[in-house]
Amino acid sequence: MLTLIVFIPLIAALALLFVAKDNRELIRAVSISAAGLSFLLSLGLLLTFDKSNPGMQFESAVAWVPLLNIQFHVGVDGISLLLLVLTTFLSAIAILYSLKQKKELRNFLALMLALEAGTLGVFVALDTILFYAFWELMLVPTYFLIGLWGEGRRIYATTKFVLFTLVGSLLMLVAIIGITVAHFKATGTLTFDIQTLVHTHIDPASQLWMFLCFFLAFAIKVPVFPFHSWLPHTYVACPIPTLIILTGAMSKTGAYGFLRFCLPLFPEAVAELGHIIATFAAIGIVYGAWIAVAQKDLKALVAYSSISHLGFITLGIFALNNIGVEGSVLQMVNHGIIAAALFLIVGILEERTGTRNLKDFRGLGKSMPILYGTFMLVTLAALGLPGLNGFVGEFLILMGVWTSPLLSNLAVIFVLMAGLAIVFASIYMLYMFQGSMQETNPNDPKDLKDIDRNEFALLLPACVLIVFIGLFPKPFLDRVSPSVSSILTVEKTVNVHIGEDEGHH
Amino acid sequence: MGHQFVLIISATIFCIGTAGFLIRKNPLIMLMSVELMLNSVNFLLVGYSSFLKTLDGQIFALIIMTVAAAEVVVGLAIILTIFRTRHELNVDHINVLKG
Amino acid sequence: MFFYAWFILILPLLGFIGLSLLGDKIPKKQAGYAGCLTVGLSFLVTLTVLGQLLGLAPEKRLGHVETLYQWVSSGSFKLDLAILIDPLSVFMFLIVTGVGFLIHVYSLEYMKDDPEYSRFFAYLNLFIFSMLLLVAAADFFFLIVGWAFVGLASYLLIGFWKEKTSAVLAARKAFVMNVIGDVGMVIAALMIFQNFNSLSYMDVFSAAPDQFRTNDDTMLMITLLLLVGAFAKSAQIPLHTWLPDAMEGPTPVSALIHAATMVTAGVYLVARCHVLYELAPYTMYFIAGIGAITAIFAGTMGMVQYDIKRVIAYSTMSQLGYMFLAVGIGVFSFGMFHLMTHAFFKALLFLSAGSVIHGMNGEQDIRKMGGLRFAMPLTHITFLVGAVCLAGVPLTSGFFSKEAIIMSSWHAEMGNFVFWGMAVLAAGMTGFYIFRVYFYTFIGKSRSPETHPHESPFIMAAPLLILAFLSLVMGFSAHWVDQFLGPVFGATAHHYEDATLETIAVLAGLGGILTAGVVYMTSQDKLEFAKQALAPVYDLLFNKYYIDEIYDFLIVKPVRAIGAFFEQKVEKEGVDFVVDEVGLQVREISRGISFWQSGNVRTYALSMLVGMVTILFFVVFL
Repeated sequence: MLTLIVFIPLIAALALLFVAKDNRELIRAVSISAAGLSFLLSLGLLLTFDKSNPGMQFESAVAWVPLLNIQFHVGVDGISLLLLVLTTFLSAIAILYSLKQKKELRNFLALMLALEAGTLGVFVALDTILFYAFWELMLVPTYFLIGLWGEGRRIYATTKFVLFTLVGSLLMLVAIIGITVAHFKATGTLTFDIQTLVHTHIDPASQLWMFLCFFLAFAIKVPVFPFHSWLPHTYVACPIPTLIILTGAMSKTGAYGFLRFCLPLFPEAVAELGHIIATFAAIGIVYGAWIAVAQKDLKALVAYSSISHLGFITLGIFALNNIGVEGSVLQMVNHGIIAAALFLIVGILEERTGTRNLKDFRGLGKSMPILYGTFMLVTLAALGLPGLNGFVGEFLILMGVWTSPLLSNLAVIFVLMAGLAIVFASIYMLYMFQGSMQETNPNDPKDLKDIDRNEFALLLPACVLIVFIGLFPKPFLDRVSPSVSSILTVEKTVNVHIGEDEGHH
Repeated sequence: MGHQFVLIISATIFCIGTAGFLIRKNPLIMLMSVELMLNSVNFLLVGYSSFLKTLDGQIFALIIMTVAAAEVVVGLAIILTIFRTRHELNVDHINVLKG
Repeated sequence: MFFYAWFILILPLLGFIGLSLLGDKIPKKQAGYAGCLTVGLSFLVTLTVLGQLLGLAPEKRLGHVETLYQWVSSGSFKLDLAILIDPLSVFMFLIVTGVGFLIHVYSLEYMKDDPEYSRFFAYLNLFIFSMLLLVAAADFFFLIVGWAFVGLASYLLIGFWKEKTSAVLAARKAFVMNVIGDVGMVIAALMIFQNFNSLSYMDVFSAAPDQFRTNDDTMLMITLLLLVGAFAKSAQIPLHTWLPDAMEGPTPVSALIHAATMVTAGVYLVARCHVLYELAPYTMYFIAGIGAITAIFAGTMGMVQYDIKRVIAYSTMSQLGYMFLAVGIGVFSFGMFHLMTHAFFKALLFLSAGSVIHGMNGEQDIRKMGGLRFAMPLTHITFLVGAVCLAGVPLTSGFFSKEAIIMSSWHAEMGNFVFWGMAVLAAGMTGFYIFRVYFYTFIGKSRSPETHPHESPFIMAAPLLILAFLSLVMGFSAHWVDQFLGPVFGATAHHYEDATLETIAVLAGLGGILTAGVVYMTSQDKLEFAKQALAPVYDLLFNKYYIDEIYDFLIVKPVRAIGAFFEQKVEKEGVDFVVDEVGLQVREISRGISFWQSGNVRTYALSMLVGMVTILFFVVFL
């Protein structure tokens, strides 16, 4: 089932290469049905998921490279399930939105589907090498998507993005091999299986460098301050449909990596460095928000606000307690939905008016009442209005930080910084919303049309989720909760004595 | 006799090939020198195959010949293209990849 | 037992959803009626709840928690979506739905020419729902949700005329100020959860007295952080600057949100958390002090403004100061009582002012009004009723509620001379500024003869009359209110009798009125002369103590400057520069190394040969 979900987009991407370039109808049909099918299947998983089981479900394993015992092993727990559904959902929206694409529709959609497959693969892979393979599979389509269909300094942006990410991921590969070697030394069996590896105790010194390698890869992907400098360039240059997957789903792979690898594999390194990372996350929260206040370009504004929101997610993860981590997972979903909706709206506005600069916008609400309402809802969710989904995640994260034993002394400062960022969020979000939709502008094009049925249909699911998660987050958290507990309390059964011998003090 | 003979012949042919590759400036001749080197290895493989009474060496030699044939095809094609565009064939002048 | 009380909340919510989705599909008139109907029904349900509650013995009226569903369960954090029914929440329900309903009816006429009529009613319904959620919440989380929602509704309604730049800016200012308060409350909630492992009122309030000593540091922090929210919402110093600007919204909104209900949420919060505040007397003194200072401070600003709505807005701030003074010195039920009477007479004043503005075709400057008592006799009467109530003329409701507070500020355990003196001073100012407006607006001759003011139609007048009636008679319900709320606050408040003090306070109010009369009678020249003499003071007051400018200088400008600094210096020339530089340096080094890449095939071959030989040499001989 999982394999199917991951491979449907991939196969469709390959199939598209055999369709004639100008057969737009067929291209559309293939890509929509692939994205839609994989979304429906993932919904099926959501319904049949057993929420009381903290372990992996829907597992399947096929030998891939038997010599090294590398397996094609996939499975989901509560955390990856939510992210999986989020990814299929956002991809479906992104692909629907990109159907209007004029330039090279076939290749664009093929790459989008490949990107979707890569992202999905990252969330379901249970073998480190498989994880790595999907991790790189995400990167390649993005490179071309931004480089060929982007705008502005797209080559600069895409090169920067790829180089940045590659630095991290290659170091991660080193650490992946390192873990397996450590496990091999202890037990004599070669395995790349995550569920087996997490029980290996690694001596603290090795933990430290392996953790740092993994951390760098994930921190760049999230991105955590100060590894964020690719993000504004990339987001501004990125075409909107790609951006939806990029910000909604791909940035979550980094945070997911923290949860799947860093926390269970290297508990001691995390305990040692957790507060430093949390400090960077907190700085990122304020920093992103503060810069966002000064932005005029809507895409850049949302990009910097994303840095701020992703800082929240990282902060919650390194609070290292159930509330914080669950809040983070929920916030990943929330941010995915909100940021995607915001970018969709930016895309729609740009399409209508030909600009993204706040200085040129005024009073669009008059001619676009439906967009006005939708935009307002999304804005409010983004600035964390209690009662909508953004706040639920933020509140849980802050609560986790506040009660975190790891961050005890710094928690007050972090929460105050987060509070400052929330105030800033209300400033820049309202600035964005009011600046574009309210007041009057005599220069507005007279023939502005409100969003049509199709565009509204794209935004509607996001709006419904924004309200629903805000009103009733329990079903989401119930699915995440057991998995988070099991991640936070992994028992180290293999090779414990070595760790004790070499452990400091 | 026997071992030494094969080794000496093979080494000699290999050295001739190497020298040819280093000295000549015509890519066509250089390609032939490469073939010479490959064949010296083939000779060695076949020779030892018969001494050791196994077929492995001969199979390998066959593979090398196949690969060499493919290589020549590609190599000749490249040389032809270069000649078409530049109207000369001096490897010392073909240095576009200079850093 | 009170599960049906959910309908009080659900009805306005349905109204909001229905009107915002179908607003443009149903005719204007029906949309307005629908908006009123939901609030009216909600009021009826409240009355039922009240009846049932009164049927119970006083001590059994507390703590009826009605859970809708479990909202979240994450780690040790569990939370239900629940409402709390007790005398305090029902008391607030009555005010919110009662006054809310009257203002809805008034708006039917007041807003009838607005193209976005149904949107207005949708927002009003949203506000009623949010306010009800705020007062009904059974835990701190949903308190914050309601808290933020009323902020949202207030934002939407202040910026209702979204084409008007000043309204848009005022709305943003109000929202951001309120978010500051929300953040304070969120942190307070975090601390409460850390200490009590629950956010539910019931758990927290029952555990607090055993868990904490009086004036425990933690308790002081919690109460102070809650106060940030309370002060932001109730426009107390130093978070008050949004309220006068909020008058950019339509007048019914000012009456409903920025006078009668939302701004009193801070007072409600302190009253609701009285268990915590009683454990933190230092905070209580702080509240009382800020309340008294705001009462005077706002009064002084109100005395010199010319915009009719702004004067009333400052008076609202001032009266809120009274309420905080009351809850600060521990007489919670007097604070709530003043909250109620204030809701009536302030809504009345605003609606009357709205009627004046309506009649004057949108004019708000009192210097251009005058002599309206002939053109608008009914409005004249209702405004006068509101004014005498506000000024605390004996036997009006304002008199009873304000008198109780002033009296307690001296006699109560925590009261003292200073609080009393400030309260009396503020009472004097109240009389002055409201009658200044009254004289300017209704007495004398019209100052802008070209306008032809007209009396408002019946549908606007009816709510005015009802409110005027309530303003006059509800003062006599003081004892009943005290009895009703008594169980919530543990004991009924003691009513102090002191004829001397009472006389002084009444005289202060009457003195204010008299001064206003005298100033009004004085000829324009002398007034100008006085203005000149007092120029520095006058300018200071007229410019609202320059607080907006100070904030702009101290907060807004630095924030912008630092933002720009971050973007330019830290981001572009810092982080980004470093990253780019790493790439560039790698390229530079490669350029150096690429010397070896001659492009000459034979050189490559030679190097290969040399390399091979070297390796062979090592392998064979070493």
